[in-house]
Amino acid sequence: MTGAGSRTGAGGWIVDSVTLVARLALGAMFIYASWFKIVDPYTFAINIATYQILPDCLVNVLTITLPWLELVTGVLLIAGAFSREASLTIGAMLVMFIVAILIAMSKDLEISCGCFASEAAAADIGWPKVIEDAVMLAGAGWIVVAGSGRLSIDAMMKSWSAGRVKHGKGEKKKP
Amino acid sequence: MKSTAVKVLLRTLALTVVSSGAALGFNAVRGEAGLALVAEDGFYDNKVFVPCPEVLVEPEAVTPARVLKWNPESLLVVDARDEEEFGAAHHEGAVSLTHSVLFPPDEEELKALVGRAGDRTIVVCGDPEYESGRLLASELMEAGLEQVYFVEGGCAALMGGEMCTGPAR
Repeated sequence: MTGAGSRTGAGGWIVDSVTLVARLALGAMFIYASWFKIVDPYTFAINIATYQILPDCLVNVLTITLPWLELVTGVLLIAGAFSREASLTIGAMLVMFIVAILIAMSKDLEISCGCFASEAAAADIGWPKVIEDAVMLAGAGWIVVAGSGRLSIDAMMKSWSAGRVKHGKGEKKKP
Repeated sequence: MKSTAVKVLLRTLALTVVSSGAALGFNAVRGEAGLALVAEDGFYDNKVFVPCPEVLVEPEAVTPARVLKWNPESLLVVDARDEEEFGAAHHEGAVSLTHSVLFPPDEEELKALVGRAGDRTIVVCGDPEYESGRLLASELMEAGLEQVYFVEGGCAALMGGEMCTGPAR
């Protein structure tokens, strides 16, 4: 793993730029995705139940916690704070989403007759959504490997703490 | 390298725990807008799926041209589309009775429709994509109404160039 802000030269700026774009795009998408789920948890619960994977007793816990995880990780990614941790969490969520869609597809859920109460959730069950999630997963993986980049709170914190060590801050000055 | 990876994993775990804690706390304070932590078994069974629309009584289809030849005073055109579409444009003299797969017309709506129709023939138009006209006509016949037809091609075909715009009735 490369530390935040440790790359130099043109290559370093390219990597940092890609990382910044990935961070902002993923962060914005996850914040946006979390919003309606927090505002209207009941509809989101029905969306989760539509996949018919979890037992009913677990649907609500996931409904309550998942959007907040999306919101917090999205905000952290945009700020560039704990970017690797946030990306790892987002990656885990994306893997979960992909697996859920594949399971729903393998169950051959009848989604064409419009019999689902949640048509939005039913419309998400398919290869386009799997590909979309896989692309986002690649973005999250990039951030985990590349780190936060220069324009991030992580990089600022690192250079600040490096400066403290270099200048011997925290040690008692001699009279 | 190894210690960095372990640190990242531990912080990821901490992030998950803190976010989940915040979520549960927020859900607890939002009262009735929140969800019960554990739903009863089977709670979502009848909420995920709704019955597929079934046509038990097949109504007769009529072409828009045939409807327009009939004496308008002997007809009651029922518009099965949603109220927004009805409000935007509808056949002159039509009444709105939105078709819903989940909620078929209740007794009061049927009573009002029968009262309004009198001895006129009922012609139902809807959205051909969802077959709402055919489905509503079928439901009306099931409910005991006679002389019910549905328009081939839906309301758009019936209206053709002669649209009437105005507030939903």
